[in-house]
Amino acid sequence: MQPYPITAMALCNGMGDSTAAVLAALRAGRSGLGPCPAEFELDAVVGAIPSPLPALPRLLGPVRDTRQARIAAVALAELQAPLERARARWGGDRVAIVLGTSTGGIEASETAYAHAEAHGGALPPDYDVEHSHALDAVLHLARVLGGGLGGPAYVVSTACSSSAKVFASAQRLLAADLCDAVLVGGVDSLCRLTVRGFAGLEVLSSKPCRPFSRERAGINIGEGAALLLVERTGEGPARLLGVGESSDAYHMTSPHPEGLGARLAMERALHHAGLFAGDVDHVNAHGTGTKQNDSMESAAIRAVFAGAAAPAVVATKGYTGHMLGAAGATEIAFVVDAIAGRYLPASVGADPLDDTLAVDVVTARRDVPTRAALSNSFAFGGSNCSVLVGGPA
Amino acid sequence: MSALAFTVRGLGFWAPGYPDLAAWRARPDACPEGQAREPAAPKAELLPPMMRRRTSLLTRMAAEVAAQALRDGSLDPTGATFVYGSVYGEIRTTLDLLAALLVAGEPLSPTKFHNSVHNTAAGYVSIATGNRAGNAALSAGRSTVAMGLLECAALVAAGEGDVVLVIAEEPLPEPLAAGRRWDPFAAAFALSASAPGDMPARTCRLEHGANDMPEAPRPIPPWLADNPCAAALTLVEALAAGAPARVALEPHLAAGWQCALGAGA
Repeated sequence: MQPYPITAMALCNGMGDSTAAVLAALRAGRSGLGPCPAEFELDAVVGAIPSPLPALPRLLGPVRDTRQARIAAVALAELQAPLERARARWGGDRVAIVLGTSTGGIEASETAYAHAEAHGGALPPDYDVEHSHALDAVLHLARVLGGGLGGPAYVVSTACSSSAKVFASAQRLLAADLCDAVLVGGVDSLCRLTVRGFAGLEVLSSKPCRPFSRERAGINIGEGAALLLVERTGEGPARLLGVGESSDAYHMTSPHPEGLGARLAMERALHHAGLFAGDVDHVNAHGTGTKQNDSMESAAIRAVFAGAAAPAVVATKGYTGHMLGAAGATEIAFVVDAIAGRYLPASVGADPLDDTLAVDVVTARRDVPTRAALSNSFAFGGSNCSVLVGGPA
Repeated sequence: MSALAFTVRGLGFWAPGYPDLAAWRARPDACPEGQAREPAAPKAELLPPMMRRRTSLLTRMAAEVAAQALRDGSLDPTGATFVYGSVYGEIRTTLDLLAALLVAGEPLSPTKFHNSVHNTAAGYVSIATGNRAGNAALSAGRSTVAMGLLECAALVAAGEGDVVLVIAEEPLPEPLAAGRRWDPFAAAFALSASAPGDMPARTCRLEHGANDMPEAPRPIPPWLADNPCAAALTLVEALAAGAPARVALEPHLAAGWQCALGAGA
């Protein structure tokens, strides 16, 4: 495929409510994990946005003021200047929106359902399933807060690979000349359904997660947004080089034990970009903090890089928790910052490493350049995606 | 070939009382006013029985029409790329989880939890068929059918081979629905790049324009017309009729994406 420049990005998550705060924490190795809100009634650790989220402006028509919408609005506010530039350059109708989310506004539905149960079936007055709950509600918000984006707009929701797969859609929309710029990314909010759902699967840790460490004890759930602008041409800190997608065809929640689908996704990303394993310096791992993931992902990385120099492996969920539908784009943004800042962030919590995994996990920040990096995301349904990002041309 | 052109090689259809496209096309002009609110789920024989019994109406509808379209188009189930489109996805399973959340200390059912994701059908169908291609599950409100076809057209243009668009929508459950009512249905479209010798009426091109086309020859029954994916019904009918036509994929808009049938490659 033809590479496309990533020209802007905005982040908010457990590390902070602005891109600057998030990236400062990443560079300093400072985790954004903290205790789970008391109302969740669970002994768990989460990556919650640390500051109160401002209410939505009133001009948003039918869009309801949900936690997910507020998170999206925080990130969109930071992208005003680059989006204005993109609209002026390409025309608003040539800017597409492809966003990933797994939760949508489910947090609002939890409150609404509890209200209905207590009030004879009556929903709260500010709740509307179409504009509060639906996955696509965030699209209207992005169209309006983006200053009038009129290109194709859809949500990709494939659980924890959602906001990695949006990069595949974006690249194809650009290649098919359906648009000249794409606002891509992911937005998920903390909610009881996902936190208690993962508790039901018995993979939740009551301590900060420690991917690739022999002391790992499971995952933490996080929330936040990562929005990036990918354009046909332009100046930016990094380029989208290729995307590899695959299915495990194995199990709904357990990954293929040898990491077959993960390996296929990484190999397809390289093939797609016309590159080889030896061209890649680092892998941002899916690295959730479960033994199953560590074991299969390490096997997949070893297989892809057999015959090439072992890549540095970075796991960043110790900073943010698993942001589910927003995880992929968040970690791709971390790769962009690593490329631009010529460093590899420390994988917080990974030390002491699980030596049986035999991959080069970065436990302390390294100040080295990256030519190209793969960012992995794996999901329920055996949905895998690996996104290849490189430096500017 | 335009980047937005493709040929539809196979179709699949299921709605309550109409187990396939032939049954649907043979329906009486005056359809019954209302349908059963708890329709029997399709057989969905693509899924092995042990797997099928854990799945929702939505996933069974999706698996059923996917299998029909694969068969109709003689496509390899292990090699095709599937794109799933639904507005509310596994909303009835989600509602079960919302109810379970109100019981303090009650663990959520792991099966219901993983069955509540938007790509549930995608996961089950890939496992059942041994398909290791990528897949996607999309949502775009009342534009879901249009955006699903754009994603598919872009996949075809990218040389990804055969692509199957599966559209499926369950009824919204109360209390979330707040009175919104529609019947479930699913439709599937097996697509690939156009080639010389293709049946002209099955060649499609996506275009954007004013929605000024005449009324469809047979109106959609009211119990399905309110389904947010109803545009897929119009498209299925037009493709099955086999004549050149222009189908509005976003009929709720004054101008939007359309599918021009018989436009050639």
